[in-house]
Amino acid sequence: MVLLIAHSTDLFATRVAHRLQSQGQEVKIVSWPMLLFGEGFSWIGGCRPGLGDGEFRIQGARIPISDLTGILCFSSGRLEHLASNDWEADEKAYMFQEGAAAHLAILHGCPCPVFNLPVPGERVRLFFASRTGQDSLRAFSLRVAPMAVATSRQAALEWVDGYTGPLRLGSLFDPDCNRMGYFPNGLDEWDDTVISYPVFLQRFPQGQLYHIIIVGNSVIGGKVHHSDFDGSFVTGVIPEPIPQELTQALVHGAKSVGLGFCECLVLEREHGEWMCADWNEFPRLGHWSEAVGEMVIEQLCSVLRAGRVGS
Amino acid sequence: MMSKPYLLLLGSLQEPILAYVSMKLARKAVTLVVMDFRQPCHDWPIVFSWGEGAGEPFLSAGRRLVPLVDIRSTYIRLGQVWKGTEEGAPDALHHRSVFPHLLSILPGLVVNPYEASNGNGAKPYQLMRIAQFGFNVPRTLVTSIPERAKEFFDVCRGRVIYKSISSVRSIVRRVTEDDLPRLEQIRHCPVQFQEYIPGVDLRVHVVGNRVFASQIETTSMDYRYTDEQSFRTIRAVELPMGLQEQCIGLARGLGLALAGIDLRRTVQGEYYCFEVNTSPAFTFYEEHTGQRIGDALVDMLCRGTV
Repeated sequence: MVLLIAHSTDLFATRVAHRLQSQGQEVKIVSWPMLLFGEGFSWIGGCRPGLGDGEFRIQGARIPISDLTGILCFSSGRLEHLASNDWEADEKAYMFQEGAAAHLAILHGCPCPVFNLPVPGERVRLFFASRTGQDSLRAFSLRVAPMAVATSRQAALEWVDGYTGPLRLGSLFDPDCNRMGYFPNGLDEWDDTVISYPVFLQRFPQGQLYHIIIVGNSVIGGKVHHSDFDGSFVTGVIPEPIPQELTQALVHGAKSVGLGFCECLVLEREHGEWMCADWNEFPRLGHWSEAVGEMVIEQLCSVLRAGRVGS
Repeated sequence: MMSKPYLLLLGSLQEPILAYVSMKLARKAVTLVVMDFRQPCHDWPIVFSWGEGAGEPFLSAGRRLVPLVDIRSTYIRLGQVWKGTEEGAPDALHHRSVFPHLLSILPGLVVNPYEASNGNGAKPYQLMRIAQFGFNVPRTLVTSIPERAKEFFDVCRGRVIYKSISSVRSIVRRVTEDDLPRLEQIRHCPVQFQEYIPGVDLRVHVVGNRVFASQIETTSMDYRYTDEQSFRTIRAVELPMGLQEQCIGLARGLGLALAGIDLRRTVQGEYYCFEVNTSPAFTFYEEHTGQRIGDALVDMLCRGTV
């Protein structure tokens, strides 16, 4: 059985579930709040004499964890969106932390492949640019575009000072909240309202931009025209063949940062140099054209049925 | 003349352990930069850069500009505020976004790195990791299904404790027959149950390659919490060499330069590991045993390597 962890109304998860079912695969969709605080689960660790397997309770069914062949998470284990007026604020805070801790243990304790295994404390939004992320990607000839984090407009100006090329500004929380601009006058076009929260800034190098989705050992995506690019992952890219060397670098690079399903924005620069602009560990169907979405769903179903993330 | 290397302290100087470490570091030949994340972000602009092709990466905090390459080491002591307990506070965004990103890019020795320091934020997850390093770990059940909890209680012959799953501080308590009717409540929020292992508690602090072990004897179920009726003594002990090496290997394997490992020695002489504290409050043990854990930490921070 394949388990999809998503809200029951999630269009992406629903389409993946329908496709799997049409191929004869058993599949269940359940959300984190429902699993952790609703229907129930048990997780067993340590030495096990006298203890059976862990289990999930989903839609009234009792599912041994050992029966699962693959898990795909469509969202993180962050539970802040869980809303119940029955609980006080401090009780909710306690539940969020306990739930997040249980979610990490559950996914790491599952014997089947999991897209994508979370890390303690969650991956930071710019995980690919962390010290270990950069080291991992550099091993596959993938560099990281120059960027900075700033907590205020003044701080942002410090870093942008004198730079006149294309600049990308984004949220440290939401991969869908980015924008592009050219700033001969620094950050004049972005007022204090835009930079009212800590942001990241990226000096966007010249080159051919690609938007690529990585699923196991395969990649799907294509070139993005600079004029169409607004800084976000919503590129509506049309599928086209991806250079072999880039495919290999991205598949291995993704695995090295612990991801089997993700999307990224990559620049091809002069002399065949590849530079990562962004990575997203929770790709969304709305980011792509219908053709790319179909290919991603088909590929996801293929690896979930096979019970492997990619070797 | 060579300039003094930078040593970064993350946290509030009102926090006793960070204050203690900073006091010791003040006597050393390093330039201390204290980043108190409680300051409002717009009063205290921070910018840090990285990536390739835009000059030397740097950290600018307040009026100080520090090239990242000159930071020899960082000690982080963020305490419970880091865990998001001050939800909705004006600077919660700092905790959630800026500091994890800063921690993720810091060069040199980081005590402890972001991902490693979050390892004990999910105790059952950490237990799996601990077992990978050859330690005995107690049978553990995390569940929101009352009948599973009851079965576990029976399998363990009623010798079961319960505690939090996350790093939320909780007092370890024994499950009794009287508690069984209350198990229905776990349907609303999962609970961690663990087989009770009787024995003597040991807190092992690993600082780089150095090991400081304290033995705790108490009549209380959780030695951190004692009342007037409870008995507690803490004294320094020497661990068998093999166990010391195992503790160093565990800390290193979990990515921790500083760790507080909770062990229990059974009557049969077996050692069980319960968890590894990734930001240990070592001064408590220092006060009882006279062990110079703080000095070892400061030496390591000044060296910049374990």
